[in-house]
Amino acid sequence: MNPETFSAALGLALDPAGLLIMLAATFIGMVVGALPGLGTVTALAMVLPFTFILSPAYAIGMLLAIYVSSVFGGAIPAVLINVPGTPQSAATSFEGYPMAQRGDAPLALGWVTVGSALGGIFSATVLMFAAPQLASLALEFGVVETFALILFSLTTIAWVSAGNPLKGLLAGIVGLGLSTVGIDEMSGTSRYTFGNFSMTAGFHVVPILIGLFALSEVFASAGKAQSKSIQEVAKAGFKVAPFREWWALKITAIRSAAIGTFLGILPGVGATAASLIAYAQARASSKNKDNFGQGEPEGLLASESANNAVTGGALVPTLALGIPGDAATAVMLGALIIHGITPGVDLFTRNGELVTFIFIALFIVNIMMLLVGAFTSQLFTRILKLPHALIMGSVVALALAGSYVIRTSILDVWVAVIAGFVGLLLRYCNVPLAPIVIGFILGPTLENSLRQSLILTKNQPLQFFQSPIASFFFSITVIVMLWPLLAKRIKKNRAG
Amino acid sequence: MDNPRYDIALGAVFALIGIGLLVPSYQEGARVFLLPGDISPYFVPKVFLYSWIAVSLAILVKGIRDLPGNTHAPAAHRWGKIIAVFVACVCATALMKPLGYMVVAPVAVYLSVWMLGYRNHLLNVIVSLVVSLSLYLLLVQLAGLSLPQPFWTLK
Repeated sequence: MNPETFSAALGLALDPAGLLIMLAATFIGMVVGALPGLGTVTALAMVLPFTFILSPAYAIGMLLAIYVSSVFGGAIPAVLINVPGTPQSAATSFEGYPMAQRGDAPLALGWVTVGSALGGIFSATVLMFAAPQLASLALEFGVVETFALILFSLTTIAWVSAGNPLKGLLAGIVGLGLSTVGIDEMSGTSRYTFGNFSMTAGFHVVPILIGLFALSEVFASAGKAQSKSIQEVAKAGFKVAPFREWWALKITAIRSAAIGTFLGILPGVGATAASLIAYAQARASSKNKDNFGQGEPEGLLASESANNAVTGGALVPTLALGIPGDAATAVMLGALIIHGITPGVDLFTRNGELVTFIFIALFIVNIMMLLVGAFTSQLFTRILKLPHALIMGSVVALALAGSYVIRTSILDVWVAVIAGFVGLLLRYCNVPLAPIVIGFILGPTLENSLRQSLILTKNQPLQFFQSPIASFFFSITVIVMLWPLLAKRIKKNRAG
Repeated sequence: MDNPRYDIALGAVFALIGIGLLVPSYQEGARVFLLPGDISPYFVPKVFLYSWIAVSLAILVKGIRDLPGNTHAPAAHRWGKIIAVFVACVCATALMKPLGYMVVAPVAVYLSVWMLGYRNHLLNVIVSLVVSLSLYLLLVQLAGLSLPQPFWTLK
């Protein structure tokens, strides 16, 4: 990173309008993350249409702020009402809610907020050093290697992200199938449009996202039985524990942030697993094991620094290779592509200023999250009492407008509404929705790389194995797919 | 936990959709002119569709195998409410172009909130109008984007 690029990126990041956008997005992300049922991907999907009017830097700053703060926002209801706003904060409720019950909600929110910011800053540092290295490695990648890498990532995400791997795989394939609708880039042939001219442009990612994540949540809320009781919300506030208490937990903080960052880099694992693993690690190595489950700050710190550390980790393969690790980074990748930025090695060589801006912005949004969290925490007692039905109604208005403005096409609104209903049915069948989005976003690259590879090898797919990198990815794809069967066999042998 | 009945339905429906999409892949694919060495634009979609059908059938078979030991009670979803909100969204989409966003969105929001069980009608009306108007002003007036206008305002 040369000084000129750095100073230009810093200037961009410290632009008052940009800072204001990031500040507002931090608060919005926090609120959406805190409202149970919405979550990070919904928050990103809902603001995506608004980024169209912004410059790429402002848009990326806004999305980064939403991404980081919505992951943190999920912890607020976990502490105050024992309901995690996002699955990533499930482990936070184990310690946060008991603390709130004994009247220490402000202290719990202090641990959560500072812990999240520390985890986020740790992972931003790793991103800054690891992404350029990974990108330079990607210089070795041709079309065959790209195909093998995407195949590996998609299979792993689909296989790992669901309780039932077959359903994860089906979701990924459905996403790939949806990406083939419209004009084929290589031949100009119109595919699966059934004579409808509007469909020649193919499906857009935003209506699919809005439907699958936002509208399906509205339909799911309608399908749930109403609870008549008014939820008890603990009185929020913000109080930071004395420095010596933080210092005593420095190893837990660093270890949890490292777990989160590492798991974030791996495809498909995600923040939920990271926070649960970091929590279990903290419990296993703690001097206060017996206090876990009764409001132990060490458990809170472990969970929150791990889940926020996933943000920077997940951006490493997204920026360096153009491979998203989860649905949230898939939306980020989609947003970058919409703004004419193609992640991968070219991004680092041709768009150094923008990459440096992303690194700086990630530090800034983590600091903003800390400040906004500290100053607005008291508001959340009221926000969490807002009637859920009114929030869902607002989502309907946003979905109608957001899906239309993308291409001023009513077809996109139809796509959102149908995707919402299909998304609901898939939820009821325990089919994960994230692989659909990831498959849809990676589909065109997978298809083009496979076709180019076949042309290069004169229709001899076995020649793909002449590349050591491709062979490596094909091998680990097979291992990942066979692992559940192997694990079952090993378990049976041990038991027998 | 997976419900085998849902798995059977899921596998069967997706297998049928996959087979339904394979037919135009072959019909349309046969009409595409290819130069020697070219890969058909339908080659990769066919690969996806065969994988789609195979995985759907695997889910279907797994569901059938799990059915005898099934102790799942069907989940109690309020389908009437779900369909009502869905129909509100469908009508809003169908009428958005002729009637305009500012007519359709508040009604859709009001009906959805009502179906979701909220009974404070005055607050519901206020929120429906304020949210829709704010979005309209933000997207159309501030951002310069386009939302459907009512037909009587169009020249």
